[in-house]
Amino acid sequence: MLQRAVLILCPLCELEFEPKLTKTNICPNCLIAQMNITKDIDNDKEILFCRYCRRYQRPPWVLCERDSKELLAICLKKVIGLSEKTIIDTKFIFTEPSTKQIKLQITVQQEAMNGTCIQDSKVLNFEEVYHQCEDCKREFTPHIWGACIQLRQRVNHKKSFFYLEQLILQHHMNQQILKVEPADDGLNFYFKQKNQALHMLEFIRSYLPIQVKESKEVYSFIKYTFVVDVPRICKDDLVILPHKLCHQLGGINRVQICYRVASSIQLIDPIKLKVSEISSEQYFKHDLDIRTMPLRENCDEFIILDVEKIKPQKNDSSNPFQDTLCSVELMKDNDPDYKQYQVRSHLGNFLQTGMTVQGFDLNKYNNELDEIHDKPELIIIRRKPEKNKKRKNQLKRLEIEDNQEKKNKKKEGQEEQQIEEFLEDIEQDQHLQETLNIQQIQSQQ
Amino acid sequence: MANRCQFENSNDIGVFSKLTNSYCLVALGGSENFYSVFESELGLSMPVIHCSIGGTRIIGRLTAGNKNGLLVPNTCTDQELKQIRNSLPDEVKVKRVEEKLSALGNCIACNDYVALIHSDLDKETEEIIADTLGVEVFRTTVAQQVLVGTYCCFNNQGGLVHPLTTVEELDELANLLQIPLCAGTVNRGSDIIASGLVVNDVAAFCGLDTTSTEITVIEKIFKLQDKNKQNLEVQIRQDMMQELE
Repeated sequence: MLQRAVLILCPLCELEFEPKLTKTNICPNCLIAQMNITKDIDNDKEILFCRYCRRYQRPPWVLCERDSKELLAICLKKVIGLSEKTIIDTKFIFTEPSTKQIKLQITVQQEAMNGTCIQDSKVLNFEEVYHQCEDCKREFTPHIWGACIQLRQRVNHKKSFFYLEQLILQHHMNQQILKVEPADDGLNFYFKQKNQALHMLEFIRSYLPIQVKESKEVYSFIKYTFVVDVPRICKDDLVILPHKLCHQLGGINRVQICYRVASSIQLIDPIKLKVSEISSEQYFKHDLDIRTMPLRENCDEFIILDVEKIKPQKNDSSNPFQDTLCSVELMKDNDPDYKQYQVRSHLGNFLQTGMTVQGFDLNKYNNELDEIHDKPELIIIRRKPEKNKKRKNQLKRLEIEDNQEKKNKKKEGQEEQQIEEFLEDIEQDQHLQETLNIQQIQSQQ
Repeated sequence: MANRCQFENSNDIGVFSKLTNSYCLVALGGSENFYSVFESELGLSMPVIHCSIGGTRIIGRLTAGNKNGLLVPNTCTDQELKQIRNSLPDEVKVKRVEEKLSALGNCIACNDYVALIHSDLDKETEEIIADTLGVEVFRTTVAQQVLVGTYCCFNNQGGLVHPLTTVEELDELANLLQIPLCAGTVNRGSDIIASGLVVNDVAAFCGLDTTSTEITVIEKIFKLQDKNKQNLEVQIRQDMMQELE
């Protein structure tokens, strides 16, 4: 049997209604008016907006479009008073972006007394307030870098840095560098984060022997500085080692030639033609006692008269120069005496009669090398380079910011000359060619 | 004519008073305002009796009565019973009922001819009711509620019931009682009719919260409108029509 409900008059508005619908005895309109569930939903909230990078703060700064889900989430998070209510629907009302207002219409439902659910909608206003986000702040202030590598080598030339530059370009390590600044005796690399700088340090460590000292400055963020020292010994240098280091390395001679610089310094004894290695730690312990004589300042030229290969007595397989040992008869270039010298050398694979070579004449340096008894007279380093040679390959350069206002012409000239010498070095040295992968450099033109 | 009043800041008039066609009971301890409302309306013809039942003031819900008699529960003490009997007019029979359901006001709703009672009342009590009050007794429910005395209130001319009463039930009850009935609320939407309202054939009293809509409904269904006032309304209407013309 269907039971129809009785209509009663609402005590507040005299409207006839069925009391079963609302379980209270006032009509639905009066109920909604009384309850007013949207009263405590706050209107007029602010959301922060960075106008440089166009991101909203969430708290992390996210990029979102005007009418997107992410923006909706940000807006709803800001609103207080939605705790007991369930959100049925939300809708963005169109506003011009230039007004900086975002209008959101939400429909909420809340349970009133006696179990009835009231549904009501409200329009919320959000105002975009301009606020500079953290990243933009950092970009605008001069403190833009978080980590810095200060690479220093106390020599007169920059060949090591050219070498490193080519390696960086080849392995694409320059992607994380913010900027590179030149300094006296070296370069500064700036990075945004410490781990990027550490990555670069590991890379450098595998190609050059280095010593790293770390320090930091504390602002609201921390700036790390790594002072990196590269040893003074370069390729083709004459090195005079202190007694202590010689004993440590197994009683080698004090006079050595550096024939390669990789993760350690590799030396060869010009008399015995034996190779030895100095690690970066060993070098920096004896840094002050080691003396170097670079080839550029002290080179002499000689003409080869005769080359004779020597068969080594012992089969020493660790010696890379085993097969190329030779005995050479030399004559000094431009020597009025036409004095002939006999010298042993490790460069047997390309020395030929009639070739002009560069090397050290140790007879000249009486004062400095007096105490050393066991020294050779001449040391051959390399073939003499041709003048004004046409270069096939042009090197790709890293972008280096120059802070100096006046461009020193003399320094520019010096740099060009050093680049020439560096290219010459590469051409003469097989190992360097392999490391730098010359084919790749050539193809980058 | 329906009047609004409060008993000690409470809108539940029907709890603290009982109104019939021959007498009126009120609880002790209220301000003189309460009594003066009753006395001014009811005039000298009707005695307004101050009493208590079992030491309590909720006399409206504990007692049931009409012009013929009054029933009190077993919690009523002998002294109180004596006092009531002395104050009431001689025609009114007073009887104490031994009943498990002692809130007789909640279980019995009556006028001078018919009574509706709680479904679980004893047979004995039913006979006492029929005898003392001189009424025809029916066991019913109102809006599926057994407490008929709470959820409906009627006098000899009409009655008001709980708002969730169905149309069929309403028809059935109207048939039993032989008076027009209507569903409504009292005290701003409260559905407990009898606690917010006391009524007899000439007057009604309800809580201060009652809205004008509810007052109108009450006056209409219990037929309390003053004949003079009715004429006055017609006069005002005529004058207004004249002016508009």
